[in-house]
Amino acid sequence: MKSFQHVNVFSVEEAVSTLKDCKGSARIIAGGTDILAVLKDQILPDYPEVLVNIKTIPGLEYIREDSSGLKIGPLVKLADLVSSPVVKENLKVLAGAAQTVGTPQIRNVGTVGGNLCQDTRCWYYRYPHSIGGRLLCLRKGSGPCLAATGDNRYHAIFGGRGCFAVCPSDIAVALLALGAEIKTTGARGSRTIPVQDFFNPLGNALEPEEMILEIQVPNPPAEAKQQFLKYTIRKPIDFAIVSVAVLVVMEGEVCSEARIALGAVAPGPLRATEAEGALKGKRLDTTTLEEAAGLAVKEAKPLSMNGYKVEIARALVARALSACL
Amino acid sequence: MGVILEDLEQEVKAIHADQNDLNVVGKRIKRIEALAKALGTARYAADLKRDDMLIGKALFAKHPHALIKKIDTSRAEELEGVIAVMTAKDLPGRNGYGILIPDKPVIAEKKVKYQGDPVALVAAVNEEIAKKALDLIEVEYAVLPALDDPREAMKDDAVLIHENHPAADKGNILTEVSLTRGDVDKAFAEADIIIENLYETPMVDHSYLEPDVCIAEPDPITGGLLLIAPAQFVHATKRSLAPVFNLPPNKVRVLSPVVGAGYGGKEDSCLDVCSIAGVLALRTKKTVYFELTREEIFRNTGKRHATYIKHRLAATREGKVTAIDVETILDKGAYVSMGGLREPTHAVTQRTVMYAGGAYAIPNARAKSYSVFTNHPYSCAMRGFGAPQAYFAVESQMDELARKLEMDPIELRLKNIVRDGDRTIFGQVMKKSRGLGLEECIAKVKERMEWEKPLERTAGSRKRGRGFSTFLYGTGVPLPFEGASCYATFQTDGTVSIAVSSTEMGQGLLTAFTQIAAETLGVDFDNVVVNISDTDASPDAGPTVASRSTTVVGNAIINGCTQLKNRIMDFASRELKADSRDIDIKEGKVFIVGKPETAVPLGSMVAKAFVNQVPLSATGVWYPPRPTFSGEDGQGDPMHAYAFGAQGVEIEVDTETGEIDIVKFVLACDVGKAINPVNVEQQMEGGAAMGIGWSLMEEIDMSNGVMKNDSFKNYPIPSIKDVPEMDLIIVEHPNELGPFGAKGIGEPPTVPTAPAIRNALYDALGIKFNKIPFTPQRVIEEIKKYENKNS
Ligand SMILES: Cc1cc2nc3c(=O)[nH]c(=O)nc-3n(C[C@H](O)[C@H](O)[C@H](O)COP(=O)(O)OP(=O)(O)OC[C@H]3O[C@@H](n4cnc5c(N)ncnc54)[C@H](O)[C@@H]3O)c2cc1C
Ligand code: SF4
Repeated sequence: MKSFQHVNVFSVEEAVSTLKDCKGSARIIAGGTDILAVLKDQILPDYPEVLVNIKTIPGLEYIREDSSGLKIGPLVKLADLVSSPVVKENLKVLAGAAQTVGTPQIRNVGTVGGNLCQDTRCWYYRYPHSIGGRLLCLRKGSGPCLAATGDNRYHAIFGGRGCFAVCPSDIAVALLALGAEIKTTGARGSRTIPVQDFFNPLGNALEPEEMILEIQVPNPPAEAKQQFLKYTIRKPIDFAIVSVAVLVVMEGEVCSEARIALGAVAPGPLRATEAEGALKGKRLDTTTLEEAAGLAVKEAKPLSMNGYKVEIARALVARALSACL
Repeated sequence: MGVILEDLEQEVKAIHADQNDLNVVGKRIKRIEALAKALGTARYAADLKRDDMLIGKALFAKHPHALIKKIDTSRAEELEGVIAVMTAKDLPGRNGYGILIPDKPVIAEKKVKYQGDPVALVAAVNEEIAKKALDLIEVEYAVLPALDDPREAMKDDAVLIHENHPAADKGNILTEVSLTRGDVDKAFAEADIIIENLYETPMVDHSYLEPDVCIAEPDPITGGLLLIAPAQFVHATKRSLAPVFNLPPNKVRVLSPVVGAGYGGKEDSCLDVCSIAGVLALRTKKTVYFELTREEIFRNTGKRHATYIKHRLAATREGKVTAIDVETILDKGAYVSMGGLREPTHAVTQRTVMYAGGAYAIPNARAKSYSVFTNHPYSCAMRGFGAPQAYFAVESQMDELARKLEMDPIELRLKNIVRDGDRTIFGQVMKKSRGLGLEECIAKVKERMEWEKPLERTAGSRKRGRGFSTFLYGTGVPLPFEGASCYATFQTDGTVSIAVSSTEMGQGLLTAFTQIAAETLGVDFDNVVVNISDTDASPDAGPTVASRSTTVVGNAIINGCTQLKNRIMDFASRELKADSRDIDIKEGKVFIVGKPETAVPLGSMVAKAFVNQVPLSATGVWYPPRPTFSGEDGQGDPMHAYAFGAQGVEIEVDTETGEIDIVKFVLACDVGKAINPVNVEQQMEGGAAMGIGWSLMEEIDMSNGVMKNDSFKNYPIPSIKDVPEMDLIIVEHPNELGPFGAKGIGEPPTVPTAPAIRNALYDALGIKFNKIPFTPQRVIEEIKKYENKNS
């Protein structure tokens, strides 16, 4: 790994001002499980001079309940999401998603903020510099997408525009289904970004000197049933081929609300709104569930090698829904 | 069914009747090095790194196939802290090495042939500087088209990878190995049924845990070199690299501490790291530490040969296989490694021919294998050495035949397996006296699988299926030098030292050797210490490969220990005034048989022998009957003994997601004699787990010579949750020439898994999966294709 300066900061203001002072040559480091791998492999042409360590900022590692919902600090470890009684009780999809991330070691060190901001796993993008040199592509601002014409078996089946890399974050999928918002602060002040607007085809909505301050998760309807499912090639310690988080609210025999979020199929987590609509006001028999699952992937546009992901997504949606009954 | 098993049990009881009085061999003894490894105190090569060592780094090729136009190292040389920068012109000796032939350059000079070719080396005071120096080296290339597919590379108009390869047959074809037996054309013309299919198996990585490292230390007194590295064949490492260092072999000492697994890979990769560290150490006259990163291990070191197999099989209506006709094309990668030259060193290529007919007595056979250069990492030895590929094809073919005949696949196999006196397709007569437990393996697996019970076919999207396969696998290498030597020494207190150049890499060889020595000498297990893998401390025991060490080296240890024992008994007969034939040594005591009151502690007898000019060291040797195998027709007796086995699996496949779950896994292996049953079970588990990875998820993805999945980030190997509970059955039909009847077990368990899973998939879905691995992507795509065809 090339050397860089590691700067501890002790307040959010200091973090933002340090980022600003470094004029684009600084990056935030939290648990370091992703960024250090990115730097070690030197996958990007520009290499930061400074890493701003936000773990030294006190008071950013909390899970707090108030009347509107749950507030989660960006430094909360994934392991703490898994073990938190409130999260387990009220936000089953979130605990479930966090539980499937990597290994115990990764979950003990990796943070919620870092998980949302982790870089994509596209294998062209992640190609290390050490042998033959890094591969440049559209996402790195130089040349065409290599996956579009190459091996795209793990890439997007929805919404790729130029770049077909998928968002690898599992908890983003759960947070989308929960309707969460991400509070940030930066050189231009604070703002709150709904999860669905946080991700874009080339990364996320953060400015270079902006950081995540809090994740705000509204209370889900009390009687909502929740289910997170993730499909991987290797059973544990693997990124999703497809993941899905669903929430289903029943009123008597009839579904009054359904939310379906899909992961690892698009540049960001994706709501299947048409499928959700098809469930509302219906009895959830097998035919309805399968219809909804079909609608969830209706707009899929698989690339040359990832048509199988459509099938897996369809199956996972049907299974997650039926697990909620 | 019942009858067969009972008969077999009678037979087996008789076989084992004379082994009841063993004290150490056959016991479930815990592995000697297990605790130190679990505690983290065992020292691997990398643990011997010291702060005063220089750090070596290599600049590897930017392109998989290119001419080197110009290299400018001047900026790197000027960097403070850089001690040496080397290009090909700075090498002390021959710029080439390799186990079979020196065709792999230490530093590429004019051309790079894959991305693992070094173009320049650096030694610096620390890693950071060494890496910085690499960035400052400028190389100009003229890029050539890279070859990925051996089927393309073997065509006449393909670009040449080696312009003048010293061994290549023709163009990019390194070698062609043939086997012919009987009249194949006639058999096909007369066949009732012909089965023909194409099979493909992927290139995979060994995925050993311990990285490749080398510490190279110049010896200021002899002018020689000490190389410490994880190595599977220390003596060959020395022999192959001495000319690179321009040193005679007696000035090169290679030492391999405990090794964190090799699976065949560390027969070659140790040459890669030792050559680099060695030339840097000679150049700088300092100790150099060189380690490959995981990505470099993926890209540079050897892989399992990918194969493309066309398999035709002819049979009668009654289910007797009458002929096979097989063509195999192997992806050789850029260099020969263990890929095979001409007879007798045709290595992996030869095994694909030899095992093309499986464990069956097939009277007519034609098999041809081509080993073809590509711009991929060199393919090398990997657990099974060509056999897993060959068995994937032939065991799938057997299943196809059973289906066509509507015959039970086990019944079909029983009609065709080799029995006492039968010849294999390579012409060797299978003998009961060398251990022939195939039928027992088949019967036991059938019983544990509850094969007779109809299978519960699960409803919904999950479909169940069962698959079966068998194997025969030779112990040892079919090379003229096959054999082993070791030193056995009595210390004057009666404890024993064995010095042997084999490698302990997790297979438990230290423990097995200790058991063999203790049993032979009649001493306690704890009174024997086995010293391994040091070319200056022990004679050549041959490579630790080919499932050979327990058997071949074990016999050398018995030989050495028997010489010592005889000397002591001889001496004791004079001391105790008895005929030496009446003396025995057991449990650390020397005594006249039948007279326990004469017992003397072994230690005092040895001490007395020492002062009476009885030598306390012996060289143990053993050679099997000389291996034969003709390059003309592939006929001969390549190995002295064969392990056998059978495997059954039951799987559940999810037709919506392509997921495969193995719900039942039964594996039986005939090992002749389990010197240590724990070790044998661990080999079976580990081998089978490797087979599962190969079947379900592992595949190196190369395009235009570039590897996309070059680390464990995107190259999955099975985790504990992907490996099912295994039902393991040890079968023991002794090999008359093996130590206590043993045959090799290191590689065979990797062989039957893929075809068994493939056959179970067929059983579940009615779809042929003739390409490994069976990833969800492939399963779903094949199901779709099948549905489209049938709708
Ligand atoms: C072996 C392995 C397996 C994995 N498996 C999975 C998996 O199955 N599912 C999954 O979802 N993830 C997986 N991951 C990714 C892992 O979850 C992330 O690496 C981790 O959550 C990142 O958290 P961190 O605190 O270590 O982030 P860091 O590595 O410190 O940072 C990651 C990125 O986030 C930025 N960042 C961090 N905190 C903030 C903040 N508060 N505001 C703005 N930017 C910030 C950093 O600048 C950096 O760009 C895996 C990782 C590994 C190494
Ligand atoms: S998918 Fe995106 S990251 Fe991957 S090669 Fe294409 S542009 Fe680059």
